[in-house]
Amino acid sequence: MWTGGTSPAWAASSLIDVVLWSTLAIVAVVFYLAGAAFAMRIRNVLRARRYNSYEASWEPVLLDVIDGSVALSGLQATVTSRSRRHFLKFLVRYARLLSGGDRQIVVDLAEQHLPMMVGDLKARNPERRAFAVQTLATLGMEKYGPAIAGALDDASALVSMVAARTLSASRQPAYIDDVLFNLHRYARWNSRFLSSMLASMGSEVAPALRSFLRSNRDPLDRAVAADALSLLTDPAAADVAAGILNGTPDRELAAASLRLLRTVGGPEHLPIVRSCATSRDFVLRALALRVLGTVGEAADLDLLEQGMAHPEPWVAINSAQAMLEAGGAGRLEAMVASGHPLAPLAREAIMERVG
Amino acid sequence: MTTVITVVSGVILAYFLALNFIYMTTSTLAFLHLKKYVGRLESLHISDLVNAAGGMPITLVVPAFNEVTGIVESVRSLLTLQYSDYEIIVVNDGSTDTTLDRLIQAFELARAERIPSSSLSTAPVRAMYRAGRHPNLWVIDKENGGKADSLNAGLNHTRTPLFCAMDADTLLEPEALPRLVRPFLEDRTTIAAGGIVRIANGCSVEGGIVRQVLLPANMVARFQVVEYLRAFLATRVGWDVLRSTLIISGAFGVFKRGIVAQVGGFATDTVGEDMELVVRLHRHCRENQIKYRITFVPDPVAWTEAPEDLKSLGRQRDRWQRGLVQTLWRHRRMFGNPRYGPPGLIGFTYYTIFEVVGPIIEAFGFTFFLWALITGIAPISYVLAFFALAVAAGVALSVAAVALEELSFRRYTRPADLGRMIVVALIENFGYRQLSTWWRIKGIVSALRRDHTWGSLDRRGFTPSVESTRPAVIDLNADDLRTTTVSDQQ
Repeated sequence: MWTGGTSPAWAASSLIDVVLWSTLAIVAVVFYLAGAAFAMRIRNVLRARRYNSYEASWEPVLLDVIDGSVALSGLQATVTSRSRRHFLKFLVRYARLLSGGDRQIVVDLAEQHLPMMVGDLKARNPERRAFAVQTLATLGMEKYGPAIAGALDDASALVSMVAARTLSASRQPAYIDDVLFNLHRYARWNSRFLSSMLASMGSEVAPALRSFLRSNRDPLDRAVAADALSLLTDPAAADVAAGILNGTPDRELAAASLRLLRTVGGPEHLPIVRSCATSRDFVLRALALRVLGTVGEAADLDLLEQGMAHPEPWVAINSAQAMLEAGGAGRLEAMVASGHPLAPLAREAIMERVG
Repeated sequence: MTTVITVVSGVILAYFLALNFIYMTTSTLAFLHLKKYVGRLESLHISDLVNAAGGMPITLVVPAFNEVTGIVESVRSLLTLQYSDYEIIVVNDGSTDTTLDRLIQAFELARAERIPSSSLSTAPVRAMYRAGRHPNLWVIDKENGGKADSLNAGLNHTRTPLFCAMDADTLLEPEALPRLVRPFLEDRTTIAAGGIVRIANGCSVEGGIVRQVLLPANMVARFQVVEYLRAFLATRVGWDVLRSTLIISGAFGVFKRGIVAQVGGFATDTVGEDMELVVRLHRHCRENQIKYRITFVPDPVAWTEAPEDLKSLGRQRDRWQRGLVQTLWRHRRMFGNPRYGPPGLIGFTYYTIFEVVGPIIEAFGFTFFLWALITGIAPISYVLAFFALAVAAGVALSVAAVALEELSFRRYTRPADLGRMIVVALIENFGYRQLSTWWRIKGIVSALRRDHTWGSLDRRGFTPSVESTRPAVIDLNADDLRTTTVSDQQ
């Protein structure tokens, strides 16, 4: 039965060869993978044991160092060249939990090991460079600030971003220009995150942000600066925002300028805000109506009531909120009492305030 | 006859080798990616993202149908998530038990107003409630319309730029949310991200949090542990590297609200609404030349309870396969179409040829060789050689997935569990794999019969709605409003 012509028999035999060799190759792969899994497990268990034993010996001594009963050198003596890297990880964890003098003790303990991390800034692996930046920023920002700022120019966007984040989180306003110079590299990042990052540097960076907002840099980057100024509640930025609204064709920048005016705008900006409140772009319209809630006058309540009837839900919701902020609670309550078609929206706005 | 056998065997072998080549490629890509990814996590303190004022506000949409036994604990667990700004919308999908009453009682819910932000068509909403002590907890009570319909109802009332679609019985790890939101922070073009789903059976759970990860004693659940590792770590990570993520699990996925509303929300006329939405998003963005990213992230974990009996598992797999076929058929225009980039050229083509046709060829192969053996047309050594190859390849893929777990996240820390998983990788090829193939074929047949039911005993119990979804035109950039407007209300 298994004896057809020469050619099919040969083909069948070749097929069997392919099957057998493939099976053997795959079985070899299986053994390799299973072996690798077990090897990794053994390595991980041993590594965890080693780290646990390090930490079990360091932790009580560190607590003694912090309460002053043991000198720094008492803990330093337990750190070997092999355990140095892990010691820094251990200290980073504590540095993030502690503050004031206690934190300073941790920083002092790290000092002699940090040059190793500076060396890591030149490592080939970007993840390793990023980790070095993170460690240096947590344990040695004062001394290594310039090295971290240098990492803003790193070829890897990851490393550059870690540097920007750590400089911002450590409130290092001296580096704002370096961060802003590199802002275009973070173009893919969420703008809300970026503006929050810049604002975390503190109000000292407001002048630099204002000048960046005035510049002719990419409108998206300028929008980030505008949102950062909103977070910093920088009154001097209001005129810049109004000026931008008068001329920019960029929607994102215009939206950010309106958000800025909502925080720091005044009656002198009402004309431009009102003109945006009738914009055909519903995003700008909704934002402008919301600005009227904080800087508008009694005369703007009619505009807000019109906004509440707008078919676009975002315009309607923002108008209702703005109405409440502009002192129009009475109007909203009247709507609810009279069973006005907008009563549900009015009721929601009132309840949100109560909530 | 020998010629026929040789030709058929050759075709099966070629198909089989191609399939395993693809699996090995995705596993290798996953290996390279995970190695790098784990290194990246070292330079990231997730708590920084949690506490960052720039963290993106998110709404968790939790459809619930007859979930009286677990809903309160699930919601309590969600209220403890580590995230700076989030809302929870539980959608009671016309439960016939006391799910709503339990929620009202446990969270002191009171009637409230909430104007929809989009107008997706759904079954009628009866009432909205808000929790007295937890102002970020809302409950929508609506008539029954199915899971997709409930998600749409939740989406209509979502005011945040992001929303998370999940199951009522899913347990999220405390850091899962910031980890899954991270791609949206790192890349503003991200419109959807899925996390990993793991099996909670056998684990020790306290207060809605998985405290100790253990392998389940039940073999059906244990098979699924390895299967999920294979699906998520070895496959989805690899597809993500190839920019061809077509599936984000309905149990745990985060989406940009604006674009999902823009494309019409979840489809209510398919049982695979999660995959269908992702494929539709790809299609929409490609057709409208919108820059976008849909990604899979391997470290945010959602725990789910897997079926422990073959009957329930069979129904689940039948439904998954039906959803797959329905989605691929609906968007068949994408098949091998370069206009749709990697998702169309690579992902869609793979799913069609290997995930839909695959079970048919596999079943045909088993039947064919069995027939050849019984009739004596082919010698036993020939058949055994093929079977050995199939088993070896199956074991290799599962062991690769176990190795990837060991390389990356190492959740199963008991020494014996690693050995047990390797054993499972071997024995699943004798019975379980063939059953899976059978369920998938049944799913294909059900899809061809246009069966849209979820299965009467399914835990989630959502019944279908044939109501069509009307695209609600909400501009994507409306989400920008959230930056200082809606968020300020909370």
